[in-house]
Amino acid sequence: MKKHIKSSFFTLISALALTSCQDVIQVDLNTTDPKMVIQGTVTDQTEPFKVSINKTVNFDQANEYPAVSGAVVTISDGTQTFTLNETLPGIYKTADAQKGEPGRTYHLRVEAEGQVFEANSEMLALVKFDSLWQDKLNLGGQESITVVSGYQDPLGLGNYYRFVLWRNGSILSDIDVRDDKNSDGRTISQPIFVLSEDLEVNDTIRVEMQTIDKPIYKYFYALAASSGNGPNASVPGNPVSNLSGGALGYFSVHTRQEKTVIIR
Amino acid sequence: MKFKLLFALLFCGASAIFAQNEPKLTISGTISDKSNGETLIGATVQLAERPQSGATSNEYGFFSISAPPGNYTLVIRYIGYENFAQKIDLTKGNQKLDITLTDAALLNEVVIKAEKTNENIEKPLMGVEKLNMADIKTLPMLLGERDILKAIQLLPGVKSAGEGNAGFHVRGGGADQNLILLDEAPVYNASHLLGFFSTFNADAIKDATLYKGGMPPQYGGRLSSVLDIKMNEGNNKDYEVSGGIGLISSKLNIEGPIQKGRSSFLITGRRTYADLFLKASPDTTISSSKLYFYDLNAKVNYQINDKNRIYGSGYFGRDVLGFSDNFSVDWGNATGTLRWNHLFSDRLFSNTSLIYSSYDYNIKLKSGSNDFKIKSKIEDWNIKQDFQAFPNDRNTIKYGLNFIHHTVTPGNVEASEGSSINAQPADPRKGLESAAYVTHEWKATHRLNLLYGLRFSMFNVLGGTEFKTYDREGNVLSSETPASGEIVKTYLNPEPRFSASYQLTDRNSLKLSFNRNTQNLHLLSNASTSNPTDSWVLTTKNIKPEVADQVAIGFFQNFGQTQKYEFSAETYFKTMSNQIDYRTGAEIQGNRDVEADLLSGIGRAYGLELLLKKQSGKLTGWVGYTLSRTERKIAGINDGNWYAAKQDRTHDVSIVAMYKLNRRWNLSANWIWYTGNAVTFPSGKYAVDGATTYLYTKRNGYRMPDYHRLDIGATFLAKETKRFKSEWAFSLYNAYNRKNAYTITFRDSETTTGTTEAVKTALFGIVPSVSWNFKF
Repeated sequence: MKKHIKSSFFTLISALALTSCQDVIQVDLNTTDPKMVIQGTVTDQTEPFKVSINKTVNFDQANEYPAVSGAVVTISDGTQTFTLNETLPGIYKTADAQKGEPGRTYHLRVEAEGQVFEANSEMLALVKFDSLWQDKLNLGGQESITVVSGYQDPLGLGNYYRFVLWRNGSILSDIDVRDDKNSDGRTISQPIFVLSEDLEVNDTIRVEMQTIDKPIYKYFYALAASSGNGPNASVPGNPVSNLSGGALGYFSVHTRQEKTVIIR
Repeated sequence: MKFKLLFALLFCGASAIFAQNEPKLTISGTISDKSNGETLIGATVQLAERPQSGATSNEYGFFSISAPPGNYTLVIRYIGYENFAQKIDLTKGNQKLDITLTDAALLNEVVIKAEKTNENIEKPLMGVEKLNMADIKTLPMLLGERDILKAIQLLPGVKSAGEGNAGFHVRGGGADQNLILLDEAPVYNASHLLGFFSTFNADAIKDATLYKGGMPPQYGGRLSSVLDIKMNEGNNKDYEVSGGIGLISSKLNIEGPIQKGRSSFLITGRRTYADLFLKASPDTTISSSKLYFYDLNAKVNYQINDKNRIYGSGYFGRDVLGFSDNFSVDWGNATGTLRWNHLFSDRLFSNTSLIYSSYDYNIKLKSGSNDFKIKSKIEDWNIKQDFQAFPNDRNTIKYGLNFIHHTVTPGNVEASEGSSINAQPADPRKGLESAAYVTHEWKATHRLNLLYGLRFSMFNVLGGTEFKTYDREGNVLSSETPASGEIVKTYLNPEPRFSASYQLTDRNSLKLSFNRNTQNLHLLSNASTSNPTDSWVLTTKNIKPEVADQVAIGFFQNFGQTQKYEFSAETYFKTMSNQIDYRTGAEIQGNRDVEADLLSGIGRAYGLELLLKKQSGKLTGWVGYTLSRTERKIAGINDGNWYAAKQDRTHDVSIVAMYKLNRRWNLSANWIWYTGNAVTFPSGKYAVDGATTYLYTKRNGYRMPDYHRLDIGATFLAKETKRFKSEWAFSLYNAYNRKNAYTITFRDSETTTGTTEAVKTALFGIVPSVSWNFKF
């Protein structure tokens, strides 16, 4: 909602500046030593635990991020330790499908290129994804299509959610994470804002709802706010990762549920 | 050390006042404009026979000067007015005089020999700029809106918060560190329309003075500057209607006597019609939106007798922004001031003020089953008592008390049953800000002038709401809810102020100043642009008062025939403590635990400001240059190392010229050039869930490109009779259509997939405008 208000201000600023214009320019940006980027997930679905390890590149290079091979990757649930094997360069998975359990805290350990990176993440209880429907968002005459998520926030603070969208099979870059500090115990019907693309009739929209823990909520909130782009921009910075050792990325243990809607 | 020095001064000063115990008589009165009765602030008063004597008319036009019995010539000078001189027989008793000065613009050019005073080099004050309201009316401005806040941005040491923005930074301080007073009432959000226009309707303003440093002790509460704006009082001789029709706004001003010579009123209104532009847009999202603001200024004053005068003044302004019925935001300031001037004697002036000021915003949203309102408000009640004593012609003593009760309501949420968010009670935070001050302005010798004093400020955090403590990671450690009215915490801050000028010759002087300022109200805004929903917070146990110490040294020189050129060079060094910044990804709005997301640290700023001014002749104007640096050091940001604040700008040049071509045409131009502000750009990239994500290495480690712009303007006097006057004003903003960068952002390339690119957004190209003003 706040995001929306800000984006409205931004639209109006641009509207006011009738002569505003955009140009692609050359900016002389520094190069930097490649940093490790780790993304790990454990879910409540029966699927392999997965970790990907890559490196950053300089701004002027292509969007191809070198895979980090030969890492030793383990995930433990407190009683059992699972080893993840490299299935493709930089992609590590458990050999068998596993199922994360709500209430457990999982520990990730990555040893790569002589460095050790570790993270903890807790799987919070599932909150049922009740419904998904399309709606028209009417902000000042123009109707845009949006999808709305419906669920019941459980009473008691400390529920965090993340919504990931696919449009016709391609993941969208929009980040939508929520907490319940202003909506504890409410029946939620909240639009998931898609600013990166316009949704159209006949689009198949798949939505994954995750219940995440607080550090992961903070990570994605910061990632969205501090990306340095767009109306919600604050001072850009790197989001605080739950990984130790100076790696970028995250280790998220979450429940996940999916719903699909075809735009009419 | 500072205090010892201060006490020593106080002692010397006091003996200076009482040592001269020869019998004295007093000339006192008010100084006003002959044509409309507006009192004149800051006119210099001198007895020609006593070159060391000197007084200045105060903010109500009152002056008092005392001397041993004798025959004198009273000389009064005020920029833009004809000099006044009168023989005074001060042998029989105290003299009371109400003096009227003639506006030089109304005289034939040949007659003007407005002899310039040496005030700028004599006065101990430094870092002070008094704005000439006539200049502001001549300067070219964006969309032709005459604007004080944009005019001050053309002065050295003052930097705009962004293209076309009314927000400003003074000597490296934050945009919330400026105390903006309208008839003594603090104005919390001094801009309209998301920052493009200021809340001050130039037509209603009499006088504006900016203090960049060396603030006299009667001012306090903000770290960086004081902008003291006084509204017109209204013509007490004749009814007058004036107004203007511009490209984006129209305004009307009505003033006149209630009782001729004794009382007057003034009402000024302004309304924009920017929505008309929006309606023209082909984009329907924009065309069905509402966007406008209006302002209303009103003032009355009444002179009860020659010892008592009362004033009432008020301001009300509102911005409205809405998208059909679904979403609307409105925000605005309201201020009200009641004042009573009382003369206890010819040498003791008193003013008592009761001041109200508030800023609030309301958000309404309706979408599907969601229907809610958010209300946020800051509200002040303020009582001020000021005394000004004029014991003799070389000393002025001011002292007083001030109490401000603040109520800050962060966000009261009203939500319907089906809404996805919870209703939240108002839960207002309260605080009491008190101050006592004393200051002595002393013409110690023929060459040395001093102004020194102490402001003692106190802030009480008041109970009634929940207070929490947090650990280093921002988790709640403890919580308490003290009873309403209970004092939760008290902060005491003595603020010494000192400034001195030493005249090396008749034409130049050296000045020195030191001042400490504290601030107990803090604006939370982590966005790159200012938003009407940025929220003010009070000092708490977690948020400590901000403190700044500033030392400045300056050299002032007048030269040329009739000293028409003024040159000044000032250099300053400032340290700041308890400066606020945010954790990465801080949630500023709708967050009751926002204090947990704040970081605090120190700052420093230093710089050199050069200013060359020409105040008289056909060509007037100035050239200003600033070399400056402002940095912060905050644990948790930039690995705890010093980094440049976002308003840090190394070089800044502004050239302002006004040329009176003939009786009908006035031409003006300004050109500004500055090197880019500090900014954070990425140094690398990676992907998170497939989306390009940027890697940042250093806070504000890059610079925006250089900025430069030329604006030109002209005013044409179309008609002038005794009864009616009309004038056209033309302006061209950004005359050579330079595409200055407003933002630089980064995105996946739209032309070459698999790469990224930088995109520059320029806000305003060339913007012509025309407006028509009238007066009858």
